[in-house]
Amino acid sequence: MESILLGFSTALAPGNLLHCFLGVLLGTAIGVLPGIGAVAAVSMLLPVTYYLDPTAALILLSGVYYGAEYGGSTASILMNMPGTPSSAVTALDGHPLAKQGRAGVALLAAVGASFIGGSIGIIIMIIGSPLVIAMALAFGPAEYFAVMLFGLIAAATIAQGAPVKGLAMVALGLAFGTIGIDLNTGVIRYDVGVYALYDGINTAIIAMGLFGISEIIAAVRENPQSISRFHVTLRSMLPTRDDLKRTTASALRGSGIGSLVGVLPGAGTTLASFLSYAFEKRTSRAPDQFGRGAVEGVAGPEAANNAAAQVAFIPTLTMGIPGSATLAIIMSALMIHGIQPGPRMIAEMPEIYWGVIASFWIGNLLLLVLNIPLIGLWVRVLAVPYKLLYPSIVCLVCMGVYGISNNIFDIWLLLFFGLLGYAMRLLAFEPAPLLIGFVLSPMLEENFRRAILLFRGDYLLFFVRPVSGILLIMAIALIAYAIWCSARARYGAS
Amino acid sequence: MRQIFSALFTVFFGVFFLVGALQLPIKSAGHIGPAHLPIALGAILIVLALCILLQPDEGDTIAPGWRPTAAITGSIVGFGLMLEVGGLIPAVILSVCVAALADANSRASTTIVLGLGLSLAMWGIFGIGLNLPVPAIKGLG
Repeated sequence: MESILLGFSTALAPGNLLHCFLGVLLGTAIGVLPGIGAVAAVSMLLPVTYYLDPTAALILLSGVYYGAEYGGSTASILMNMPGTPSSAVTALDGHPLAKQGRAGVALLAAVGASFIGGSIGIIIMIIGSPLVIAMALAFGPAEYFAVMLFGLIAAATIAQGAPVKGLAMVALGLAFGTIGIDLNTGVIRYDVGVYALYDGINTAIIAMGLFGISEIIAAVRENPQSISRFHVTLRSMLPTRDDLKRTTASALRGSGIGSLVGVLPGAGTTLASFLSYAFEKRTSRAPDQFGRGAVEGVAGPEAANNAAAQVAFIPTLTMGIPGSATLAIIMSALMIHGIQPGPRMIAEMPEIYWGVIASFWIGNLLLLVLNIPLIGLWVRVLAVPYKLLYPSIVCLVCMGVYGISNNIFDIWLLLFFGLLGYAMRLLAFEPAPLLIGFVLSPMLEENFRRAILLFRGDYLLFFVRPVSGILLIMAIALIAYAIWCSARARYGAS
Repeated sequence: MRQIFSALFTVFFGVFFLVGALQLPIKSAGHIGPAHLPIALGAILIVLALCILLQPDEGDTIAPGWRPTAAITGSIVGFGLMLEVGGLIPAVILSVCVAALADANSRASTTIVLGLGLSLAMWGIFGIGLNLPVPAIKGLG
C-alpha cells in the first residue's frame, strides 16, 4: 500500500506531472497524424529524454506511447486511416459510426474504454508485479537467457508476417547489436573502419530510420486524403444510456482479454484488439451490426489494447524483456541512464517503478480529460496536408539524430536504416522483431556467456534446470511450428 | 520474385556477419569469445535464407517508389552535407526543397515558405531551446 502512496507522491510532483501531461499531449498529436505511429513518436522523443532524469524520461515516453495509441484511434474513427496497427480494428465500427454522424459517441467510447482498460491493466500490474519479481529474483543467467530467447522467438513467430522472415529479422537485429566494442573482451566488432561505430549504433537511430524514414518513403506516394469531413461538437459526444451500458460492458470484457494477451511478447496490443473484436462479435446479440457501427466494436478493442499496453510493462520493467518495439525503445531510454530494468530495479529504486505506475494512471486520466475538449483541435490537425508534414518530419528526425552525438555519421546511419526499412517493407519483413533483437542483443550474449561459464562449458545444463529447460523447449517448439507451417503451406496445398 | 530478393537480402547479411566474425579471435566452445554469437547469427541467417526460398511463392515485390526514395535520400544527404558546411538554416531549406520533389503535386511557393518557416522554427527549438551547438548560418555564428 505504501508503495502506491510513494508512487503517487512521485507522480504528482510538479515536474513529473508536467512531463506526463506533455507526453500525453504530444503523443496524441503525433499519433493523430497519418503515417506516424506510437513507435515513431516514441523514437523521435527518445533523444530528448537523455537530458531528463530517469523517472521523468519514463513518464514522458509512456505518456507518448498511450497518447499515440489514442491518437491513432482518433484517426481511425474520423478518417478510416489507422495511425497504429492496434487501432486498425477501431476503424471497422468507428468509421461507420462517424459516417452516421455519431463520431462524437465513437470517440467518447474509445477514450472511455481506453481509460477502463488502462485502469484494469494498472491494477493487474500492481498485483502481478511482486509475483513476477519474486520469480525473477530466483533467475540465474541461464533463465534470463532462456526467457529472452523465448520472448524473441515468440515476437518473431506470433506477430504479423511470415514466421521464417520474423526469425530472420530477430537474427539480423541481434547481429546489428554486436556492432561495436565487446565489453567482455575489448574486441571491436564490425566497425568497418569507422571510429564512430566503436560504441555501437544508437537505438534511436535504428528506430527512427526503420520506422520513421521508411514510413515516410512508403507513405508519400500514397498521398492520403487529408480532409476530415466530420464536424464533431461536444453535444454530439453525449451518449445515450444504452450506449453507455454497452460501452462499459464491452470495455470490461475487452480489458480482461487485453490483460491476458498483453503479457505475450510480440503479439500484445494488436492481437488483443483483434481478439476482443472477434469475441464481441461472436457473443453479441446482434452480430450483423458489427462493421456498421456497433459501439461494442469500438469499446472492446480499445479497452483491450490499452489493458494489453499496460500489462506489457510488467515483463519489460520487472525482467527487462520488452514485448514490442515501442517498449524496447522505452527500455533503452532507461538503459541510457544506467538503469537496468529487472527485479533489482524495483527493490533498489522503488520510487521510479511505483512513480511510473502511478503516472500511468494519471496519464490515462489526462487522456480522458484532455481529449474531450480537444477533439476539435485534433480534427484540425488531421486537415494538415501531408506534403507539408513529411519534409518537416524528415528535418526533425535528422536534427534529432544529429543532436545525439553531434556526429554527421549518425545521419548517414539514419539514411542506411531508412532505406533498409523501406526495402524490408517491400519484401514483407517485419521491422519490430529486428528492433527488439537489437535492444536485447548485449544482454542475451552476456547472460549466455555467464551461464556457460557457470556450467563450465556444459551446454546440456540449460535443459536440466527446469525453468530454462521449459522455456528453451517452448522456443524450439515455436521454431518447429514455424517451419511446419511453411512446409504445410508449400506442400499441403497441392 | 519477392522470395528471391528476400533470400538474397537475408543471405547478404548472413555472409557479411559470418565473414566478419571469422576474423575475430575464436576460443574454444567452453569459453565464449567475441566471435561466437556473430558466427552463430551469420550461420542462422544463411540457413533462414534457404528456408525463405523453400517457402511457397509469394508473388512479386511491391514496386518501389523510386521518386520518393530518391527524394528522401537526397533530402537526408543534403541535410547532412549542408549542416556543417552552411549551418542549420540552409540545411533545413535545402532538405525541405529536395524532399518536396517526392510529391509530384508540390508547388514551389509552398515549399519555399515551408522551408523558411521550418528552418526558423527548428533553429528556435534546437539552437535556442535545447541549446545544441549548431550554427544557424555558418559564418554568422
